[in-house]
Amino acid sequence: MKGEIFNIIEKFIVESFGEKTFEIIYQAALPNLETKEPFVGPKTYPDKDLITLHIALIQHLSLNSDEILFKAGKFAFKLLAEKIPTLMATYHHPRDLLLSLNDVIHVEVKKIYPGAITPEFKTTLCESGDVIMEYRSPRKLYTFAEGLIYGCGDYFGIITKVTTNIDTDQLGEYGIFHVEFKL
Amino acid sequence: MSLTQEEILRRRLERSEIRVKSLELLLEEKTRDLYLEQIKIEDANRKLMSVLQSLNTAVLVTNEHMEIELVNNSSEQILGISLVDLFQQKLSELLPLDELQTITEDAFYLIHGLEREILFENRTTGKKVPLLISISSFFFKQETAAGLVCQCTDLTKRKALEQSVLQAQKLESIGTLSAGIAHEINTPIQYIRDNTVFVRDEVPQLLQLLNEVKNCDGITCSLDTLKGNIAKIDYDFLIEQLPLALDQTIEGVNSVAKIVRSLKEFSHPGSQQKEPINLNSALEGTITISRNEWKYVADLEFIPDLNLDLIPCYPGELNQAFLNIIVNAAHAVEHKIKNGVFQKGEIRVATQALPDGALIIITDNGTGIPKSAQDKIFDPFFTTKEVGKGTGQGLALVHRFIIDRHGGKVTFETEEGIGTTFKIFIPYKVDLFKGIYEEAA
Repeated sequence: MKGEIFNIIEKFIVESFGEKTFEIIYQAALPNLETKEPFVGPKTYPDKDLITLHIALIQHLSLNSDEILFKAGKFAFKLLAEKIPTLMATYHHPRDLLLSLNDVIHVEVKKIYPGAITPEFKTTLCESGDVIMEYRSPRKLYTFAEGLIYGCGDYFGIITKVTTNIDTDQLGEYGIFHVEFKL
Repeated sequence: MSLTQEEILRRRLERSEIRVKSLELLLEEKTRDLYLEQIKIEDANRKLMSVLQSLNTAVLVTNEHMEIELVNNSSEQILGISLVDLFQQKLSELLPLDELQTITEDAFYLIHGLEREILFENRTTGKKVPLLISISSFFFKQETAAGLVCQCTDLTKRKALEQSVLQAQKLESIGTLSAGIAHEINTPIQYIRDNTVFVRDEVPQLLQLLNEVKNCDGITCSLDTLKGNIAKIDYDFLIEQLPLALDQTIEGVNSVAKIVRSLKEFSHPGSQQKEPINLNSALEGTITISRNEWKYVADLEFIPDLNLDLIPCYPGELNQAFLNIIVNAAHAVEHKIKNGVFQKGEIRVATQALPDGALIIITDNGTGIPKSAQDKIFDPFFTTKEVGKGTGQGLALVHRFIIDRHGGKVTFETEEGIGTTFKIFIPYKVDLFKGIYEEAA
């Protein structure tokens, strides 16, 4: 996982729960983190460290895991969008961005962060204008992805509704998002 | 855990400092990587340019407006235009190809693998050089074509080599036909000799008689004596036969002269450029030198269309093509004779003037082409003849000479056991060789 995601998660915790909470969580997680030095955006760190931080967060605040991931995803979108301002300027609707996620956005992300492993999305545009997104990732961060989609809607000021259908047989590595847009 | 605000800030500051150092190291590392990659790109670029410059072919690369943007050194030599001047030209102005004049920029992508042979006047030497022009569009970043890549290959050496190969093929044909041609010459030579001997032996008697008549004074030589001498030399026979012997001799000489002329025309290396010729005369010559190939197996009928105009072509190549088909026809008929189907076959050669060219039809009533061989007969090295008899080059050359070199057509209709008809069409005007045609005209 790229350090940028760790930094976004830090910002999310600081902004949502305060600096003190982050310090407590970070210090609690530190003995179990493989990475002992602070996370730096362009570097790559073990996925396990993100899970360790996440566990420390939900244990400390007694929060629901999916709820936290969803909120983190929704928070993360704006910060991620800031990393690719030129590209973002070409989009005017979340639909267009979501449809180009795999072929454009993730390609651009990999240019900025070489070695980044992005989830795989197969997108289909429905006649109704809805977008069907097939999600596939061994990290099983589908609730984070769902949060990102909502964050995308917020970014463009378009109310977005996502219906998820996660395949539990595939241990959450595969799922389908049905994304509707309302003006 | 009890943390003061000061402690929190101190920790955050510590982490930030570590981050900054880490990022500085990362930046240095990336800068170094970038530098090394830049060196690699520059090396690759230099290598690519070096390869481009070492090509013996002129390479011209244009932008999307067909303006030349990149050229290699060979371009200057082949086209005779300085590199500086080339950069100021449009490809469509440099090369007189219809395709380049008519195509619009948004349709560049349609140009792919376009190949044309043209005669290009080298701007420095003024010499006309045969060039093979190959043009393809190329794409870079965007979906629409970024420009055109044009390669101009000087065909001078290749043309000379082809000419040598053609000449070798002709000489090979003449070698194969030589025994027959010798026989064709030998027959008239025989009766020229016999008649000449006859004239040589008999004329002295007549001259002697003439002398006696001249010296006859009526006293020492009487009329009766003269009449007796006339009776002795079979005067009536000589008076009748001597002119006939001379006529036959002249006929024989003409016959030999015709064979020699045909042979000379056939074996002539020919021009590298097209020249207008009379196809009927060309066919007649080819029929003459191949006579010994067909005369024992078939009666050959030649039906020329006298309205046929002169046609621009490479005479040597057409003669060779006609010869190959006529010899094949003779072999097909011979095969049928060996199978006892008939005693003698028929070969018919006809020409026909068409509005846009000439049609040559060569028909035989030989064995026909087996179905399994019909789609391969124009392939090089394919032959149905017995080992040692066919090289598999005959019809392959026909195909090359008629279609590739003259922009014509060659088709055939055949039925096993019935015979074969080859139809060759030679156009008056060929777009493919436009430059060459115009040069010839």
